Amino acid sequence: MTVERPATPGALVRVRTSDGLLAARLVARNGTHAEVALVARGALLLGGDHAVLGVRVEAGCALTLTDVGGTVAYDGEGRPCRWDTDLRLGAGASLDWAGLPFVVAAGADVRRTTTARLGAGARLTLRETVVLGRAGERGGDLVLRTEAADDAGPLLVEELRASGERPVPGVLGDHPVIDTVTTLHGSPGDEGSAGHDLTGRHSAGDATAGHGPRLGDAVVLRLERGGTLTRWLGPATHLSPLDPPRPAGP
Amino acid sequence: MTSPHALSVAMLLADARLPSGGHAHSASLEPALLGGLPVAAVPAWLIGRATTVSLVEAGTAVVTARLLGGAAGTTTPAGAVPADTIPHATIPHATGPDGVRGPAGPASAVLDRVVDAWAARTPAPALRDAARLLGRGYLRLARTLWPDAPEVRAITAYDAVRGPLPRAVVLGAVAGATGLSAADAVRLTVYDDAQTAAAALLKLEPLDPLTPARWVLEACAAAEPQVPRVALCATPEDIPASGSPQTEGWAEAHALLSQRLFRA
Repeated sequence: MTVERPATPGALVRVRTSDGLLAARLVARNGTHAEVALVARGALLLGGDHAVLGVRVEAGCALTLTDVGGTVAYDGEGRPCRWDTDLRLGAGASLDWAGLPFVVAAGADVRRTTTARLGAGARLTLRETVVLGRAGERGGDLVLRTEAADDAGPLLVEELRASGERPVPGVLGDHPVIDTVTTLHGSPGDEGSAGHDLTGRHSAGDATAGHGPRLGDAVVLRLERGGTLTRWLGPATHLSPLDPPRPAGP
Repeated sequence: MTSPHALSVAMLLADARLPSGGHAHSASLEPALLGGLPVAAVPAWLIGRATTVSLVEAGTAVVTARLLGGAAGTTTPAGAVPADTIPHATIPHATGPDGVRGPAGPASAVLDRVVDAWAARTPAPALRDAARLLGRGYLRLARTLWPDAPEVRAITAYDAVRGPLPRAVVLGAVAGATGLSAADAVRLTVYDDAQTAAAALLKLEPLDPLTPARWVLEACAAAEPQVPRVALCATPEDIPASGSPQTEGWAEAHALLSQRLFRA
């Protein structure tokens, strides 16, 4: 899916989509912003499925993505499934995506990846809620990889491995729900190889400056190069203190 | 001039009697216990660390050694790099952070890339701060023991301009300077983390001191299947990114406490 600047000033942004396992439905748009809903086109995800979602928001445009329903990765009976999302934001572009829960049913073997590339001044807000197991289940196996970078280098690289049958203390412990809101922004360009702003680096001396407030039981992690990762681990999605990110649109 | 064997260096680095500041740290154990981790779950928690956050640290050290040494260039396929040797440095002496050049580029640029990769994989500021405090202690040690090694000169110059480097990067420079193999740098990292937590446990909980010793070896054993893969890391992108969200949350909460025995 691509959100492009209008050809003439004052016209509406252009939204191009192509459907696969997922379909994209244009909900609203104006001269700079579009809202698009993602709809599953059948039972998702089954063993062997590979959902690929590519989202491109061109310079100066804004996109709000919404999920029409949550997703369940079903028992693949030995066959793994994948969900790969690739987000590309041009300079000054923004993307807000308040995803609905992604449930890893017992027997599922899921690899879910999100890669994001942010242009100068681009802003990305993602909510990702992953649940190990449907009601009464412990849930299957999950690899959750997030890799975000801007023109200066990596912003966040994280790979979480969890298994409902084999919980690991320190990783998720006994919590089946991992709820994360990630906000990132691309560093301003025009700095050549910079991004290594000397004053921007944390020093061990500023011991408390980086520690954010706690939102209920959620923890706000301030990332080294700016942006935050707000995370809550818990027993059930309805108990999460994380609000969906506010859409930037009209 | 004779040099110590790399194993002797490894033993020195892993020795709790080494005055590098490690005694003030619990490798996230005190935060975990305060956060509600039962003592009975400590062995499983140690195994979890050995196969997640310790591998991020270990991969960071391996890549630092390799890129500062430079013989394994960034374009070399990972599979072609011998797992058991970190090539010794060939870079000239430093005059400033940008004065050192290795085949992978100026040392300061190499260190920037490794630090950025490490920081992107270490989302909790409390853990980044703790790693930099430990790095400072390790750097003091490295500067005293191997002042003429090009890797140590490079990190010293970098530290003077950019501020403290995380411990894994300093360890990588020492590994490169002393000929410690990549696989052994990984094992050292895993062992040191587990042993730091085990030693802290005895200060926090009454326990037969021999019991955590077994747990340390179990954690090392759990990491062993990963050692060859991590030892092959050749570029910052190769560094494992295995996170531990619950530990990260505990670390942040602990950093705000005034009553604590350990720094982190």
